Amino acid sequence: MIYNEAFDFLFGQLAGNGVDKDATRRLKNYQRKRLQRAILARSIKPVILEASWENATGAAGEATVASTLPITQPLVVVDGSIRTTDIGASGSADNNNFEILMLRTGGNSRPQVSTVYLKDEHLLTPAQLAIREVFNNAKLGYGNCWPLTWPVPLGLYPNELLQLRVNVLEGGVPAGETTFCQFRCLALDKATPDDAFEADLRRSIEASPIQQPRYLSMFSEGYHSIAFPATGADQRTTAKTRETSEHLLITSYATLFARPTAGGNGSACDPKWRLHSSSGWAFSQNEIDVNTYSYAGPGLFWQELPFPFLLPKGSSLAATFSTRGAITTELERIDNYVIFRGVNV
Amino acid sequence: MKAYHQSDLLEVLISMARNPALVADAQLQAAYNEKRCVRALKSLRSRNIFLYTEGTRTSTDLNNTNTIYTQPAGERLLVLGYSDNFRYGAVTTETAAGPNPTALTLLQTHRVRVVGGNERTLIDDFVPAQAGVSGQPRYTNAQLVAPTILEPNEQIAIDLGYDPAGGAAPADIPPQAFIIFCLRVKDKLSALDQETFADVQRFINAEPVQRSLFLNCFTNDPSVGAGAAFNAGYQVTGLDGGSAAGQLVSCFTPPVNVPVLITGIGSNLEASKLTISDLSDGSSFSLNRPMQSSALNLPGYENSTDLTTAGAPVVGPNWTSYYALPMPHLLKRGAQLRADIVNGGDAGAGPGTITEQQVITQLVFQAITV
Repeated sequence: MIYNEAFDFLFGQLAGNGVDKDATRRLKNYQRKRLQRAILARSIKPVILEASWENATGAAGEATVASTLPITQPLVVVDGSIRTTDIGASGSADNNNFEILMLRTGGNSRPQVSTVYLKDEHLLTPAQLAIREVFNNAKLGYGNCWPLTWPVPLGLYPNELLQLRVNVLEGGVPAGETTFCQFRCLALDKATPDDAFEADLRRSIEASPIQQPRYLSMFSEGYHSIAFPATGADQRTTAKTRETSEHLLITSYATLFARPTAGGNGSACDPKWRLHSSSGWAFSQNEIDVNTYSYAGPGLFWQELPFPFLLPKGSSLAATFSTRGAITTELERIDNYVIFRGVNV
Repeated sequence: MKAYHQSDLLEVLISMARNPALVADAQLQAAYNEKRCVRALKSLRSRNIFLYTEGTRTSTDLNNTNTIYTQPAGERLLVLGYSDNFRYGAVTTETAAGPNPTALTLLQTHRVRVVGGNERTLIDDFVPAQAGVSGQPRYTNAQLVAPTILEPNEQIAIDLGYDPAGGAAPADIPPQAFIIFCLRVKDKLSALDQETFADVQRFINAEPVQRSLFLNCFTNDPSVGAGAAFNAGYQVTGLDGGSAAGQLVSCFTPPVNVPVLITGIGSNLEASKLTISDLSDGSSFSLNRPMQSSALNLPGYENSTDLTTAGAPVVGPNWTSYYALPMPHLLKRGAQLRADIVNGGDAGAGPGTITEQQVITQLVFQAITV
C-alpha cells in the first residue's frame, strides 16, 4: 500500500501534473495518508504467538496438544504458518502425515475456529510443495511454506489462547521432530494522545515530501552480522540495529541464517529469537522460532508485518537469539543476517 | 514488483456469461473500458528503463570495497527496485552466479547509494547479495519498499563488499551484475503517441474483453543440425553453447496485429547477455546496454541434455524464469520486439550435432490485449 501510494504520487509528479492545482491537492492527500498511517501505527503493534510440539514416536495414532501462551490484551489474529524442522530424508511432504484441529479456548460462547481436523496437505498448495522440493534439494530450508490463511481475521480476548490438537496419521512422521506453528497478530496499544509527538510526525512529513526506502541491519557487537560466541550447543547472542535518525515505519523483515553446506535440511542450529524495540514493544512473549515466519528463499524472503511498525526517531530494534541445536561450523556462527526495511513516515 | 493492477475482467466475463447474447452490463462494460484506457495511457506514458552495471570485487580486505556505477540516464527516472545475478547456495565461487546452487554460502555483499546530485543511500549497510535483498525478480521481491526519483545527473553506485566467512578466493568470483528497474515517465504525449492512443481507444471500444497471449521471440532462420526431434521454428536458434562466448544472435517477436501490453518475460537463457528493444521507435529497455540474463531470471533447476529421447524434458521458460515487468509495455499495432543475445558460452554441448544452447534457448513475452 505504501509503495502504491508513493508510486502514484511520484508518477503524477513526473507526468507533469505538477504545474496545476491538482499537484497541491495530490501532495496534501499523500501527506494526509502518511500522517494517518503513522498515527495509527502508534497504536497498532504486531505480535507473534507460537505453539510447538515434538513427535515422541512419530507413529500413526500419536496425539499431541499444543497451545499458545495466554494473552493479556485483545489481539487480532491475521494469519498463521507452520514449519517442521525435518521433513525427512526424501524431502517429501508425505513424511509429515498429521492433521490439526485448531481451537480457541476461553470461557465464552463464541463459535469455534474450526470443528474439523485439517490434513496437513490442506494447508499446502502444490506450488508451495514444489517450492519446498526445490529448496530442499538446494538445502536451503523451507520455513513458511505452509501458510494458514483465512478469509477474515480472528479475534482473541484476554486470557484466551489457541490450542492445536494434532493427530499423527497413517504413514507417520519422523520421531523427535519439532513442529512450530506461529500466528501473526495485531495488538491495540492504547497509547495516550501526544500532541507534541503528532506535531513532530507532521513536521517530519512536511520536511520530506517523498517517502524514501530505509533498510536497517542487525549486528552483534563487534561483527557485521549476527554472530554467536562459539560453535556447539546452547549458544546465545544479542544484536541490534542502529538508532534511527528519523521516524520510520518498518514494513517487513527478513532473516537469513547460514546453514551447513553438506547434509541436512534447514538450519542445523535452529535459532529462535525475541525481537523488541527500544521504544518499548516486544514482538513476542518469549523467544520463538526464527524460521517459521522468515525464510531465506526466493519469493519468501521479505516477511511483511501485518501493519507497519512505527519506530520513533532515536529508537532501535534489538533481539536476543538462542539456538536449539548445535552450531557446527564457523559459517553458521557468524554469517547470519536480519534486515528490516521500511520508509520514513 | 508490478505497478500494474488487474482490471475488472472477471466481473465483465461473468456479466457476459449471464446474458444469452454474451453482452456485459453496459455500466460495468463502460467502467471496465475506462480502466483499460487509463492503464493503456499509463503504459504509453511510461517506458521501462533498466540501468545496468556489473563488476567484480577483487580484494579480501574487509575494509576494501569496489564500487560500480550505472550510467547517468540524462533524464528523471523513477527507481522501482533492483536485482542481481547471485543465487543461493554457491558452495564454490564458480557457482556463485548460478545456474544451479547446491548449498548456501554467502559470498558477496553490497550497498546501494545515489551519487551525483542529492547524494543519499538507498541501502545503508552491506547486505548479502544472495540473500534475496536484491536477487532475481521472479523469485525475490526486488521492489524497493518505496520508489524514489533519480535525477538526470545522478547515478546508482553499488559498493561491493566481501563476506569473509565465505572463505573463498575472490579472484574466482564471477562478475556481479545489477539491474536497476526504473521507469521513464513522459510529461506530454507526442502527436504519434496521441495517434497510438486513438487506436487503443478504438480497439477497446470494439473488443469487450482482453485476451492474454504469448509472443515467442525467434530467429528468422531456424537452421539446426540433423536429427532434430522438435520444432525449432519458434525458438531462438543459432546460439552454439560449444563455441566460444561472444556469439551474437538477433531474434524477433512476430508483428502484433492489435495493440498489446507486454506484461512479462520468460526465458531459459543461461549466462547470456541480452538487450530488448521496441522496433516501432527503436527504444531499448536497457539503453542499449547488454544485461546479464541471469540477473533477470533463474533458469530452471532441472537441466536436461537428453535431446535424443522423444518426450525428454528440456529446459524452457518456467515459473522460475518468468519476470513481470514493473510497468506493462505498450506495443503498438504492427510493432515487434527485438532481442539481441550474446552467448555466454557456458551451457555446454549436447549430444550429436545439436547443442543444448542451440535448441532450447527460448525467450517468450507474456502479453495482454489493451
